Amino acid sequence: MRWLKALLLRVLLWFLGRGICACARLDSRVAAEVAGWAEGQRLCLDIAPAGPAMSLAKQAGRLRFLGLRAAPEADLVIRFKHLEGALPVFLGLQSIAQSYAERRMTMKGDLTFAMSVVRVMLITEAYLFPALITRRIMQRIPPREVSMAHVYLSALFAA
Amino acid sequence: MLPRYYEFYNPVKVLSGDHALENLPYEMAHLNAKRPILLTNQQLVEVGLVRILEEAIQGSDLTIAARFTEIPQDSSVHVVNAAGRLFREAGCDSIVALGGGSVIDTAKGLRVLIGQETDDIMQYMGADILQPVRRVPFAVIPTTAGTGSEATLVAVIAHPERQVKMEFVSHHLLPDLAVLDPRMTRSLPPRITASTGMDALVHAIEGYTSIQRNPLSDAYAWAAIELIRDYLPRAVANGQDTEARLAMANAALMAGAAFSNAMVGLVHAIGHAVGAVAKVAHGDAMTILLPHVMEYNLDLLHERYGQLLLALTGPELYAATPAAERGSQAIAVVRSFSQRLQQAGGLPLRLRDVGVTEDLLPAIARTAINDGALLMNPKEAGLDDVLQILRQAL
Repeated sequence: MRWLKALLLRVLLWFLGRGICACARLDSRVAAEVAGWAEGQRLCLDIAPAGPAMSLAKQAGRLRFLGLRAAPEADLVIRFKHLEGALPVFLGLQSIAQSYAERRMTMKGDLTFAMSVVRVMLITEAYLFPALITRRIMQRIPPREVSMAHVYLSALFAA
Repeated sequence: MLPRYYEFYNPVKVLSGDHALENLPYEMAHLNAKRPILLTNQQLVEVGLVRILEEAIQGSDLTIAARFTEIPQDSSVHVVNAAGRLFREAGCDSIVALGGGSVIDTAKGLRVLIGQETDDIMQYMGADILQPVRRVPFAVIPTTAGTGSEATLVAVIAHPERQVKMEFVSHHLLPDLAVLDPRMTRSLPPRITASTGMDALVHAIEGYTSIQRNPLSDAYAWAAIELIRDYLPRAVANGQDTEARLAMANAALMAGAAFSNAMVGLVHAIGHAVGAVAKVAHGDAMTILLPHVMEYNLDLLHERYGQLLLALTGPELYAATPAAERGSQAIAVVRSFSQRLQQAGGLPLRLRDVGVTEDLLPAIARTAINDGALLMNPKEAGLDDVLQILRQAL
């Protein structure tokens, strides 16, 4: 079952990573957050002990998906301690705040940058998950500026 | 109700009460520490607190191998590096921190530097990533009763060139020993006693209501609030009241242990920003913001605040207050407690009293929403919410 969960997480991380990049193009709030990130800034979401992982980087003013690989030298590395702790977050069943409160993850880097990343993830989740799911993890669901389909299509084909 | 999952860690050995300092050599020997570096500041040397320590350990096997006193109000990476050079040159084997928040944060930074055997602590900023290669015995002697830093896993150290406030969160930052000796806080003036005591109250209230709270952190928070309720006004009124001083030192430590395991919330997120942008003393910001943030949280936390009414006032008022009104009554009690301290110790109650002007509020709000404490607040807060709270507190 572990391999199945790891496979599921790879799919979820792929959509999250490309979804964030899509939102950086399509949603003004995510674009504003990313505009505040330094050029070359890199973010890595990783699951111990052996992945999966996903990395993003701001390059030439745009947010780019670096693929399902770890970037250990990233400016911010959010590393879940195990698959079971990561799955509820990426399935939209648990907020990242609650996950942090349960000490499910470690964070290496500037925690101020982490707060911006958390806001970006929240907005992106509002596009990737239906309100039925996001209502369980957010008190206020960020309104969508474009349709879910638009973000999904952009994540699939344009990132 | 138990959380679905929680963690709690507090390995700090507490030495509390009469002649606690005299026990330091014995305890340090058990940690294989003989040559500590003493971190403190010049002011504490001048008021004689360092002399009290030196006399207390005189004739023991514990030798202060080096003394570092150049610690400013806000510690920085340069201060930590300078202390690190002295530690290595003098062949120190352990750390004794005598002081308030800045001294203790510097000591924690030094423990990272020496423990990780590094010259750059910046690469270790973050949460739960420290894996020390060298164990450095570490004792803290707090000289204020507020930060609770002697029982917390957090340190904040500025990096001026990179304009970053580096945050370190790791259980490896928890000291081995906390020495609560009433001689250390007796000389604190009423104003600082009140302000730091209110900081401890905020630690306890936010720890009790954070999304990371757990039964063990609740117990520490509750005990701290009861002590603060009974002893902070006494310590402000009479600094020589040894019982009150010791009770407040214990309260601050307990509140520290509570928030070290439950984290703090919106009062701290905004308070840190008020400090960073408007240079307001931390305890003053906490005092001013606490009731306003409680009002903001009330709809979600009325039951939890209602429980706290018992700790804040005792059984009579709690029993006389209808259950539905206990949450708002708890806020009223906090307000009246602050007002009593304002009259006795001169505490500010509005942001404008400490020099904050309306034009600073947007910058404060923007800074506050990037503070990690915001995540632990049970009620979500965005930029507009923070601005609204700041306007109410102005």
